[in-house]
Amino acid sequence: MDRRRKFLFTGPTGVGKTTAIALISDDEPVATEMAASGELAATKTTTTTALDFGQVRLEDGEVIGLYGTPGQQRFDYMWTLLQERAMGLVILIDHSRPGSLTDLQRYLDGFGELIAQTGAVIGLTRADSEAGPAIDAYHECVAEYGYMLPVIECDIRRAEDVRLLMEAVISMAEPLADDQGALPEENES
Amino acid sequence: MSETTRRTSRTLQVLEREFDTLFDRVPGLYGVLFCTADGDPIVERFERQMDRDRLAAMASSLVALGGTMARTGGQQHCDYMIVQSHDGFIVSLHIGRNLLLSALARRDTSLGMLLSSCRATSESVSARMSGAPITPRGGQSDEQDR
Repeated sequence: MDRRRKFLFTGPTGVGKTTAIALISDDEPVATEMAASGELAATKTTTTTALDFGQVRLEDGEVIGLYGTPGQQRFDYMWTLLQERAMGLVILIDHSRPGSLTDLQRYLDGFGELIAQTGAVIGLTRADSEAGPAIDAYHECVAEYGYMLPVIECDIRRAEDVRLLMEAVISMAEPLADDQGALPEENES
Repeated sequence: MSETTRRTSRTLQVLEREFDTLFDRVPGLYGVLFCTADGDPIVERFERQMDRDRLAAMASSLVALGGTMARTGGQQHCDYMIVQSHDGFIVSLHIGRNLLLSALARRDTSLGMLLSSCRATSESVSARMSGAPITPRGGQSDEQDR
């Protein structure tokens, strides 16, 4: 019987969700990219509008499903859909982006139900930028929501850093019970 | 009038001209929406109140997923995404690379007529949009359709 757990990556457009999943997925990742428009088109040609998907197979046979959400608020129905049966969340925040704390608040709000159940890991990209607030500001922001969540500085272009985020979020997740997350066995009759 | 404003007006004129044609051609049609490929509404004509922002975003998600599913299934291109519900149909499709068309119709509409009319509209808009900017509602893009 396959044992599967599902984890989400979320965060603003362009922060590196698609890149992160593609970096560590054992299979060809699934992406749903569409041509970017408006101000976004000045910084990237395409953007995710449905989901990203990849899989990592652990040595014990467990399969970790990696799901990336669209970043823009107008796709928040995908946030709701993708939270179903998820067992952990990585929120990627670009420290160099103006309004990075507002970004964090948006995803703490949007994924509040999941975070209350499973916790989350905050991955802070471009953390060496002097443009962003003090790192403590992210901890304080999270604390205002009543959470204690790890804030991990990372370079999302490095598989090693993405794996570190995954290890953190997996370690926070409840282990699978025997009847959780498993695909039904086929009837051989 | 600035060049950008003039070109944006032209985009809207091209799209709005298609409404009459589509509504005339497809009995049972009650809504048409043009949006950017990444789900920002541009212009719509609805015969009843609907959330155009949500519909535009969902059209983008569906068409993106449809294309990915087609490729995963060894197929080349997703022509349409069709939602068939108890009450009718919603069809979404690409217009070139940067635009989407969604059409909403009652259940008594001929699906074949709806699909062929949407395809004709897509081709008509593509042919007439060369060089026009794709501008979402309130947006500032000056990107050209390709």
